[in-house]
Amino acid sequence: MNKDQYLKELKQRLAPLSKQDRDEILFDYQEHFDVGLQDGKSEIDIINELGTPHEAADNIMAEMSVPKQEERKSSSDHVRMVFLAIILIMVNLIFVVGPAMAIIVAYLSLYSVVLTLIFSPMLIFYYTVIHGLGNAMASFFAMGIGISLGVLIGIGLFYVGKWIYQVILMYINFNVKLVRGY
Amino acid sequence: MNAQFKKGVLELCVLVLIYKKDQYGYELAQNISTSIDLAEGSLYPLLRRLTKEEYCTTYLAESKEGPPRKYYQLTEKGKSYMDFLVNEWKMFSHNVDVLIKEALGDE
Repeated sequence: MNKDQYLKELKQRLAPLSKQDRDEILFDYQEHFDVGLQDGKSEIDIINELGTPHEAADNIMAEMSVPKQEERKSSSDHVRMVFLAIILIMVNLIFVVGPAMAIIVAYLSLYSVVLTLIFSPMLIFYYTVIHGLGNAMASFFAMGIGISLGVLIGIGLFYVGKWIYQVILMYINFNVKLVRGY
Repeated sequence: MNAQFKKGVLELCVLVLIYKKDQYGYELAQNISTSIDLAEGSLYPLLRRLTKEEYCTTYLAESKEGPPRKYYQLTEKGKSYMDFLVNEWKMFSHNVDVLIKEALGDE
């Protein structure tokens, strides 16, 4: 194989590439041959150093198909993202924030119910102490019911709170993903 | 030596060499092959990728004899990428040295 055959075969193997890419690559190899020959090497020496056209083409194809490390977003993508973000903020302000606040306030007010259930029996206890033990049994019974109900509802509220928190996080994530577009 | 590994090292060598001075392809091949046994066929694809990723730029310059040659020049982006790779290499080779010393030191 000589230089011309080498370049011809390389050109054939690079057929899948665009003409511009192919021409540039062949220019590089042409230059390599020219300089090598001037340097006193034979065509065979240079070909041996370069590896077969097959190997060279494989190497080139492999490097060409390497995906870019980061896909750059085009400016139209950015316009789309800003636009979408504005719409989402409007929609959220009008339709989502109100009900969400109402739910959160209702949730918090349930805690005051819990506090009342737990602490109001203390008042009954205080009352019975002041006014004699006439209906002590009834008072203790009421106390028991109040405190246990309060504790149970409190535990329930704790889990409901966790759930609400997760739903809010999911909703925020959903919005962010929508804007980013993936 | 592992081909993939050699490829990474070749990239580092090319960046360091064109940082020292602008060079054309054949010159690079000669300079590298004095230290590393290299399939020169893998050099040009690598140079194309480095150019595409804007780590270096090319320009044609006349030579005293023969046709003009395509010179490769490191960009700012290429310089910081080189610094990154040099650092990686230093850490990597140091760790390997330590590992070898620990493993063979007892013999």
